[in-house]
Amino acid sequence: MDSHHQDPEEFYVKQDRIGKGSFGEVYKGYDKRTQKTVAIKIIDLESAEDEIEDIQQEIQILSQLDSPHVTKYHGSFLKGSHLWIVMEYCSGGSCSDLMKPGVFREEYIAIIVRELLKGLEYLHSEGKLHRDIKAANILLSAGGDVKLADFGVSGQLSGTLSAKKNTFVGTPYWMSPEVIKQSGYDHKADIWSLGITAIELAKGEPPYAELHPMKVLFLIPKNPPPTLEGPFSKMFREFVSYCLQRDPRDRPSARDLLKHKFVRMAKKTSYLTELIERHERWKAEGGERVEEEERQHVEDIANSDPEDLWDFGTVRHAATVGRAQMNSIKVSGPPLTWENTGRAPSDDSEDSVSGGSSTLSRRGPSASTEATTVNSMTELPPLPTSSPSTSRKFDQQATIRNGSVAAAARRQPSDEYDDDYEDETNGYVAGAVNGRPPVDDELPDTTMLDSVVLPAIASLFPRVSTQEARVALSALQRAFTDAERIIPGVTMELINEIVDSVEHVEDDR
Amino acid sequence: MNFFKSKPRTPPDLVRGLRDALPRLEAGQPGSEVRRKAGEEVAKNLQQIKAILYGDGDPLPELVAQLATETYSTDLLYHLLVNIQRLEFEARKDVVQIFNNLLRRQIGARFPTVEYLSNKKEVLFAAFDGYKNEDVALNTGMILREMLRHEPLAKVLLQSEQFYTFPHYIETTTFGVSCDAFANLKETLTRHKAMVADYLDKNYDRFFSTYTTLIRSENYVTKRQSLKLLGEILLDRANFAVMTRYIADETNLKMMMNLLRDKSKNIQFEAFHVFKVFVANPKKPPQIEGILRRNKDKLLKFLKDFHNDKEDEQFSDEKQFLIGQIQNL
Repeated sequence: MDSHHQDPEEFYVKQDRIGKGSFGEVYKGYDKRTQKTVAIKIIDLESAEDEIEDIQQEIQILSQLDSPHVTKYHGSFLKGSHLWIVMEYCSGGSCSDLMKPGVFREEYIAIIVRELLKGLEYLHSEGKLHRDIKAANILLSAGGDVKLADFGVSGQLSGTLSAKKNTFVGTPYWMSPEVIKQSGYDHKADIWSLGITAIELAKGEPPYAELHPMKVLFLIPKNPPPTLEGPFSKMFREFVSYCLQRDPRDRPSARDLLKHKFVRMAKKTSYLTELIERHERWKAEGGERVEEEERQHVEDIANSDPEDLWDFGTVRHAATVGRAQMNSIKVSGPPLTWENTGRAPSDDSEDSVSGGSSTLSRRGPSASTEATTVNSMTELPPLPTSSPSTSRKFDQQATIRNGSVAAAARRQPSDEYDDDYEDETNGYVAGAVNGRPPVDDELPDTTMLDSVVLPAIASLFPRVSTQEARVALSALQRAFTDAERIIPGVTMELINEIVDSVEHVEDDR
Repeated sequence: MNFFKSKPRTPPDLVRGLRDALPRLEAGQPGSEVRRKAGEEVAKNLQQIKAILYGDGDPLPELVAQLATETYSTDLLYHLLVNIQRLEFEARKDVVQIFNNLLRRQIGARFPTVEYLSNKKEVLFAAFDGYKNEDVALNTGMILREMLRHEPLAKVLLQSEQFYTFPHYIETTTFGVSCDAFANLKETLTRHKAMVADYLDKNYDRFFSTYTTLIRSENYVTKRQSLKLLGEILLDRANFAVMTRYIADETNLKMMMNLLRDKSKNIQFEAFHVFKVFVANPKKPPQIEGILRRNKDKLLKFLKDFHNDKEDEQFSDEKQFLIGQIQNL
């Protein structure tokens, strides 16, 4: 049949690769018809861990957004098994890139935060959540306009705002306590992540960046909320503390936060072009080249074991090339007058470690609730075909994506009487999978079992070749599950111990 | 001067105002003052109607009832759909929300909008025709999906000639729209099981000859998704009779055996889940058993090496079961 309408190369020219996102790669390109520059995200559906329906859901969400504070969606096209998602191009780059020459001064952060709040106000009024706010997902246009990007994990709140999502997505360091505890969350989860992002922009890293992401998963719900420490204004510190309140109900909405003094006093967005110029200058002076070498180093280590998913050894290696060292190469030339402290982002924590290698992927409980035999293939943890350690970003940036996102998103726009899906089971699957573990505020413990240990063991399956070995791995999974049932919390404690001992090894080095 | 500016307009006023403004969207020249004003009028009325329907989380039932009645008597829903491509971006989204709200409106066990639409089939087909225009297809697709939740409306589409144009839209549109059309095809074929089973039984030949064009599509996504949906349809108990017919046909078996060797791993895997039904059938017709027996050795060797990297225990069990079945032929 006629399918020439679908060929993206009829309309767009793909140029240089500009990045690697949470799924797929991003290229710069242009529209042949208008000559306008675009960003093209390319996903190979054959190797993507997501179901096609889930990707379509995201496109559906993107297509309904139209705001100057959100990267605009232009269209999506299929070429073979490769999906091209064409988006607005932001030449300024991401805040994460722009921070490479050094952290941002407070007055720039105020501008960025105000613009983010406008973006969030729009999204939340549309009943949508971003769920992955962090510097890496904030882009700047050439003129300094701030845009929210990467809706890789955005979900749509069901029709009534009272309904809360119940899925596990985001990036550990930026996640709110309620998201980690899976006790249901709403738009206030984005407000928390905004507060963490403000700290990230001020300090170069989010709180707990020196710790392994797994450990962070239970420190965030357990500890008092982080605060902004350092030579910052009272209103900035107050703003951050408003965002970072444990009870989501205590956090103000985006609209309310726009009235806060910290952002009301902020300057025009055009000032942000100074950050772009600073980054250009830093690149011209060789900053990126040094970084490139460091990255090559990380890749060499990572490539030595491409199958690596939960190998703590890599964490240790990656730790030696954290941002602290990358930025230790000082930029020569004019002094960076806009630097608040004149220090590189991580200088204040000498033994700073940048994250661990972990694309956490939770074995989605929802996959079992809508079990059809074909769906079982989504229960695979992501095989590290494109090893997370080789990604351009620090491993810290790894975003958790999860099968249950899809199930939740699929119920949009409103699921008042959406009581189906359980009847999709059939004779072939009866009783094949365990039910969803009970979600309980007081028991983040099973999260560790479900989202960390079981997927980790599952990831070993492809690496063994005999049936006997597979049986042994299954036995191991069952043993963990049994132990957790008899000694609730044991998995978390065990992981705690392991993580601690890994960190001690680091200290010894 | 308007002294009554703050007086809220009644639902009938809003609906009639909107209904009257819609034809003016194409009055005069493009970009003319008449059109611009009509666009503003439409956008404003849509917002106010939406506000009444959704309230502030607490809509007034009396106003909603008046509004619904007025939309039926003016055929507003139909006119909104046939004019949707003339509306602004946000106004299109408002139309979707208004449809969704009205479709979900329930009085006791009755769904008044569903009853209305069951007698006004052109509204559903107007939503279906949205696939002809990519600019609005995702909006109209959402409206169609909301309609298909209701059995009487799904039945209207399933039993229509238009139903057989799904493959055309799935094959000729860009990814997002194509997927949306496929999602609605799936919705039509899976939500109301008994009704669909009856239809498939009565229209077996026409349905499957059309459906097979999707499975044989050159388009990776169409092929993979239609194969997956076929597996779901056949394995649904409601479709037992249809499955029995499907797995008695040697052409289908040959197609699946070829798809097991597709270059895409995902397509191979989906094909496996259809192929297994042929093999698991305890009463295999002679022509099916013949093919399997002729290929016994090749199949055993093929399955032994098939997707051994999958850690899915259930898949391994099923594969072992198939190997056992084929060995015993």
